Amino acid sequence: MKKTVQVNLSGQIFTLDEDAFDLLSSYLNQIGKLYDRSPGKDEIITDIEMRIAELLLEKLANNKQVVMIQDVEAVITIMGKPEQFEAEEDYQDTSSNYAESNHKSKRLFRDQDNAVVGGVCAGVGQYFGIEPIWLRLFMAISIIVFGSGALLYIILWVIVPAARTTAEKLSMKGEPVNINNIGKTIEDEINNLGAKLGSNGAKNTTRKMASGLDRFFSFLAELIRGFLKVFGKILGAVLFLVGLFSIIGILGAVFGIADFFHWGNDHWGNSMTIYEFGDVVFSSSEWFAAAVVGLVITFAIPFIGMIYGGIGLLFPKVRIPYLGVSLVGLWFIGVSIVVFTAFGVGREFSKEDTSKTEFVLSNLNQLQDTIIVDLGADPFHLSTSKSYRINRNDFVFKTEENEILFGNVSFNVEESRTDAISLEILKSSQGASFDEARNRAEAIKYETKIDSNKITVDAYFRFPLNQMLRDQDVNVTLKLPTGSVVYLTEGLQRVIDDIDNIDDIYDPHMVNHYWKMTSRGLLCLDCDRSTQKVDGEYYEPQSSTTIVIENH
Amino acid sequence: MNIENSKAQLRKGVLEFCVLALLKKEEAYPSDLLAALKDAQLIVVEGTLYPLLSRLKNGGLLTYRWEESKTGPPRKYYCLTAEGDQFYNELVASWGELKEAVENVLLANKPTN
Repeated sequence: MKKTVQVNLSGQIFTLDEDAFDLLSSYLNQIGKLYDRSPGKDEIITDIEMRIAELLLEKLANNKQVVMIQDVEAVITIMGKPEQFEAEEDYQDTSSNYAESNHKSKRLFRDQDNAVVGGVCAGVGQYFGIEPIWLRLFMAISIIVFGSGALLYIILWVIVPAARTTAEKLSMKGEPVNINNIGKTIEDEINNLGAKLGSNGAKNTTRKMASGLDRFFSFLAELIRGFLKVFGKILGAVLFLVGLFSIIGILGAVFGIADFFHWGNDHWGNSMTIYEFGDVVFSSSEWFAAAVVGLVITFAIPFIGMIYGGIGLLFPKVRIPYLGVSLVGLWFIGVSIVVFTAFGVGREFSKEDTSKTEFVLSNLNQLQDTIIVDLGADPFHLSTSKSYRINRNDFVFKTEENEILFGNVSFNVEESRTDAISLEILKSSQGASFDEARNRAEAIKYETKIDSNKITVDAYFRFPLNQMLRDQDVNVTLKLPTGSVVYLTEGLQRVIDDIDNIDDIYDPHMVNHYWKMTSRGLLCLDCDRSTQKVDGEYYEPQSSTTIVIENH
Repeated sequence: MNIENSKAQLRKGVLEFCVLALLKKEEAYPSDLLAALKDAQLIVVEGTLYPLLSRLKNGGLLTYRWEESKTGPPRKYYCLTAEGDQFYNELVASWGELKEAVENVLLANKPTN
């Protein structure tokens, strides 16, 4: 018993066996490909179909109703195979086209025709050109010895599709999918079928069980595919939304709506738009424009990719040709622009110079007076301790006075080389040349107050806006001769920078203590050394209510 | 070198000429042409005729008309156009020269054979 297919060839209805239909439609396809680039393609195909209809009608002359594969084969012999067409008709440009459809490509399928269980070993054997018996032997051993082989087998059974159509069976064997091979395979199958029907009953039972299992596994594969589909849709939606909002954020930054930088906190936070930031970093608007374009491309492209990927997962049919490649190309261009501008701007940071001032506290007796070092008042007159949470490098941008307030101050205590107590203030900056760097360093306005034994250092320094940000910093160093004692108030936490001390106490814990300069370094006079160790070596931010500000 | 290929090349050259010759005699539909060409062993597989007809028709040498058939699909009856007629006459002249030339070349081989 065979399934039949009805077709219309040139207005004539033919009933074909399924295999005959496969062969015929494959034949017509190949002919079509052969004349794909000829101007009269449709006409040629129509004419050929007409002739085939005529030939088939002759075959059906004596009361036969159904066209069988032998009839189609006979017709193909008369009409000629595509290869023969090529020899007669010298179509140079179409030959490559035809060869393409002929190319050998092996694909992994389960071979159910030669299966013992699910056709996995037979299929893998076909793929690698190994006799399946060795794979089966290996599988059997691994199931007995490790048990893991069974899992591998089941996974392969689920994920590797069975070769069902003739074309799939051919690509499983790595044979080109063409007329010759399709016809041959169908014939072989017909011959095999007889042999199989005659084979013993025991094999039939295993095959029946296997086909039941096969249905189960293909159901499982379907299920997994279903889950993946749902998961893919959710992932697609997430990618799309994240990408979209990020793009909106980037656009906001570019158009100056959103803050490019935001720091500080609710009380004295400050922010800059990308343009305000550009003004103080880039010496020319061209550099700035290049940097903005480069940065926008570099940051936006991955998000556009995310949106595209998300859309692709949500609607698999939406594909924009070459978009992926163009995005990658554009991204590299963006990165190149960023690197280029970074080098250009980096040149303006290439030289560093300093400006040094030293105050000698001559009126103090270094052995009797205790020096108290305190942090200057906050420029914003804040009465909240939250300011202490801000990191040392935070800076504040102030447009009203056309000045930048920069919190890049560090405080250190060192042993003095003379007998005098002194305070050294080292301002430094970078620039394209040493002169430029020194000028910038000199433009830094930094205040310290020395009031008998009390020194007040500011956490901020100022400089005019037109000096631009060139990594300006101020290092304040208190130089103490041996024997002098200094008290560090709590506020100094903000500016203390790696003060060497023989107690090895971490910077934030050095405040609220008296320190004596010895020949070996600073020694803590009132530290509770047992609790200090328990506290741990690192600084944990304290809750804002426990901090007492020592502003005077 | 493939001998079948060379034979095909030879046939290809004259096939066009022969199709025109057959249609010069009387209008015909492809199956008539195929029968005649097969008898003359000028064509091996039928499929090659159709692209040829299509090319000649697109070149303005042939034209066709439809005719109903009692036994099968309607048939395309081809005949020569005026241009095709002239084209054919030129080919006839050229064929005469070619035939003579080839004969002469072959004749020169005769004594040694």
